[in-house]
This record gives sequence, structure tokens and C-alpha cells, in this order.
Amino acid sequence: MKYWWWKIAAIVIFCYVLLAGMLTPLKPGIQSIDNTKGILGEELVVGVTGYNSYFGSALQNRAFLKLSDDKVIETHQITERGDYKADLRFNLPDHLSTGKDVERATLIINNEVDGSLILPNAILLKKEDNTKPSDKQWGQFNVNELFKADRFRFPYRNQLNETIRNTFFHVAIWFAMFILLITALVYSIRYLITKDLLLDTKAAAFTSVAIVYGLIGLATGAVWAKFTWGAFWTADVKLNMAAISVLIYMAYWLLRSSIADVDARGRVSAAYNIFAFVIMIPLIFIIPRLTDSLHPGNGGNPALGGEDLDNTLRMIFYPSIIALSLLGVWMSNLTYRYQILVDNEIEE
Amino acid sequence: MGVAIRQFWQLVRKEFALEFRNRVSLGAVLLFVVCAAYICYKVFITINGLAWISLFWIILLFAAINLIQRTFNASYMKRRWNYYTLYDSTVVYLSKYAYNLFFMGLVSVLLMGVMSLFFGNMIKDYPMFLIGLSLGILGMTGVMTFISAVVMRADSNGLLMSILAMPLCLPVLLLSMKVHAVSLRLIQDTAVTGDYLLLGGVDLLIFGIGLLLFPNLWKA
Repeated sequence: MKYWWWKIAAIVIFCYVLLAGMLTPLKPGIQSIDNTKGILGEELVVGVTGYNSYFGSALQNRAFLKLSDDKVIETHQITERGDYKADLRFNLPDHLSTGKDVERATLIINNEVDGSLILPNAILLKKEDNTKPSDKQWGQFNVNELFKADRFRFPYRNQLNETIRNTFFHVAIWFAMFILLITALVYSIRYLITKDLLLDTKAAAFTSVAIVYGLIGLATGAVWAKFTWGAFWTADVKLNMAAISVLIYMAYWLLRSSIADVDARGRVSAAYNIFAFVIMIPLIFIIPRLTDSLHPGNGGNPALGGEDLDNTLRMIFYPSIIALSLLGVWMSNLTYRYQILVDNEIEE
Repeated sequence: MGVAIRQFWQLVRKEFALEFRNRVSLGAVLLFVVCAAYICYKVFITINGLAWISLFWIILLFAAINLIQRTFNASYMKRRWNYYTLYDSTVVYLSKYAYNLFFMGLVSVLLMGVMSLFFGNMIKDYPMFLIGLSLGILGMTGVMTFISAVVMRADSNGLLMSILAMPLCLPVLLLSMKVHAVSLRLIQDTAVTGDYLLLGGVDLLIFGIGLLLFPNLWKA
């Protein structure tokens, strides 16, 4: 128990990640709207399709079109058709009062069951030449009047939809891979100082598990890209730099197997491991930030912030990193112990 | 320090003397550059600026592999014990680096001329092009010199050299290609100084880590 408690912890945490990560429903959201253009001074009718929403069950549905905090109009009529569909009717004012002729408004639906459903930049409000005068005016927006829903739900994001759960696997496995690579780096440095062959075996084991993690990371990323970007693989810089890094570490294996002398192999592969890690840092963390990229965290795209990683996701995401790292360490331990057995066999 | 500098010049002079006693390998690399550029010319006839830069760096990459993989070749390894007892390992690495750098400079200037002859001169900003080229060569030479030291004891070092060095050259290659794209006026970039600094930083990192790790490869 004294030595293997962390293995049980890894299994328990990973089961928690799988269960909580896959079973927790998403927050309600607006999946689609059938009308995206509103002409000022006229009535705007929008049919809304909700996701995980309770329009029909809720008693106090409200909907707003919002330009800014002091420019909001509320619907005068909402017709619910079941829990997922509703028709909203707005009487639009005859001006935008910003001096512009065209502006995008955010659609907000609020009720006591769902809380707030927000679709940013949903409707294009346009001023026509023959706009009829209307006495309708933009009003103030009072956030305190809205209902809040404080249930444990993952955020609903357009584009991402249910694939937001991949954060716990794709992102976490890259984090875990880096933890394993850093461990291997430390073992390599220690090998060069002490020349203890066990440390070299450990470094090789950690690197090989990290390569497997990298391949899983590429695969989960490819599936995610298929659902959000439309293709398994694109010319995106981050993807290709990550693939190159995996290639660099695969070459590490080839290098190891091409040197027969144990001592020389340890020395050479430790030196290469350190060199490869140093090169990988500009490859993954600097170059993708210089060019345009679809991948979050690069080229002006935010990552690990805002609504893409809120507190509910963090409660699964951070344990997932810990669990995958511990599982990686466990697999590496098994790998190097097996390698020691093989080496002893050869000696005998 | 004075001893180290004297040793450094001794080694560099000896490298040059050995090279010019048997000019085959250098001549082969120079001919390789001309042949590769000529084949590209016969295949493409005319190319745009982006293809110009891409071809330039691809040919330079393969020329560098051919040129630098014999840094620690078999005949050198025979004399390794002499070097090992006479010279400090840092001095050996520095002399090899300087020697490779000189020939990479020679090859790249030749390639620049040949490419301009076949495909037309597309360089709009010479200082920027040359700074990008020198920084790129510094990094590429650093990676390849180190990798040639890594593979010196492996069995199939020719093939191993390419698969180890090519992906590791990529950060330097991409950054210098970006600087070159600006110097050919293919893209507008007012913050190119940042790219110089980044490229210089990566070069310094490669050089430093190579120098630091080389003694471990050199000792047996």
C-alpha cells in the first residue's frame, strides 16, 4: 500500500474523469435560428432551435436583442413549440442610435429553468431607405432581473457542441506527454552526470510512453478537427509542428536501436534527447504563435480561458492531467522493468 | 584562453589543408548544388517567388546534409585518439563548426548565384536576404554538426543523419524562410526585427546546447 497508492489514485481519478466528463450534460444553448436579418422599424420574427433547453416547461420565458448594455429590446411575444423550439417576435425601433446603418445584435433567451441562453452576433439589424418611423425605443438592460441556473453543466459553445468534452482527453494527454518528456529529460541529464545505466533505461521508457501519448494526442486532435473544422488533417501550423515533434522522438528510437554498445548508446541517446527537447520548444511554443492558426492558443486565438475552459470544465480537466500523467508513469515503470529483464536475459 | 585559440586555429588550418589536398568531396557538394538547381530549372522552367525560396532552402538543406555528414567520418575516427589526447573537446567542436560554417557560406552564395541565373533574380532587399541567410546557415550548421557527432558511432550513419537532422532543422528553416519571404516582398511585415531576434535566439540555443553536450559524445 505504501508504494502503490498512486496507481489506485490514477485509476480512481481516471474513472471519475470518464464518468463525470462523459455523463455531465451541456448547458442549454441556442443551436440555430431561422432568420438572421432584421429591418429596422418593422417586426422581426425569429424561429429558435434550442439545445438541452426547456422552453415548453419553463413558465417565464423572456428574450432580448442586445446591442450594448443600454441598448436592448425585449420580445412582445414568445410562442413555444415544445422544449426545443420557440418563435420570438420583436418590434424593432427605427434607428440604431449609434449613427451606423448596420449592426449585429446578440440574442438572449432567459427562463427560470435554463438560465440564460446567448447567441452572440446573431441578427444583423439593417436600416432601409424607406424605414417607417416607430415609437419603439431601445431600453436599458438589467442583469439582476434575469434568472440564473446554477447547475453543474459544461458550457454550450457553438461549433464545439458536445466535442467540448475532448478537452479532458486531447488537451490533457498533451499536458501528460510533456510531463513524461520532462521526466525523461531529467533522467537523461542525470545519466550524463552519473553514467548509471538504469537512468538511461528509464529515460528511454518514459520517452516511448510519451511517443504513444503523442500519437493518441494527434488522433484525438484529428477527430476533433473533423467535427469542428471539417477535415481530419489540415495545413495548420500547430498540427504539423506537433507531428514533426513526434517524428523527432521516433528518430530517437531508431538512433537507440542502431548503436550496439550499451555505454555509447546511453551517452548518444541522452545527448540527442536533450537536444531534441530544446529544439521542440521553439517548434511547438514559438513558431505556431507567429502565423495564423485555427488551433486555440496560436495566431491570435485564445486558449484555456474565457468560456472555453470555465470552472466546471476545470473540475474534470485538471484531474484528467493528473490521472493521465500517473498512468503514463505507471506504464513507463512497467516498460523499463521489462527492459531490465530483457537485458539480464541477454547477459546470461 | 590563448592556448585554446591557438589550438582552434591549428585545427581549422589542418581541416583546410586536408580538404584541399583531396578536393573531391567539396567539389561533389558544389556540383550537387548546381545539378539540383539545374534539374529544378528543367522541371519547372519558370517559378514564382514562394517556389524560389522553397527550392533554395530545400537544395541548401540537402547540400548541408551531404556536406556536414562527413564531419566525423571514418578516416577522422581513425585519428580520433590523437585529437582526443591533444585537444580540448570544446575546441574540436568549435573548429568543426567554423569549418562547416565557412563551406556552408560558400555553398549558399553559389546556390544564390545559380538560382538567380536560372530563375531570375527575385531578391528585392539584399541586406535582409543576407541576414536571413546567415542566421539560417548558423542554425542549420549547428544542428548538423551536432547530429553528425551523434551518429558518428552508429552503423548506418548516412541515412540516420538525414532522418535525425531534417526534422530538427525545421524551426530554423521555417523562420529563415519567413524572413526571406519578406525580403522578396512576398509578404508585408513591419516587425521583421522580431524574427531576426527569434532566429538569432534559436541559433544561439542550438549552438550553446551543442557545445554543452558535445564532450559527452566525444569521450568514449
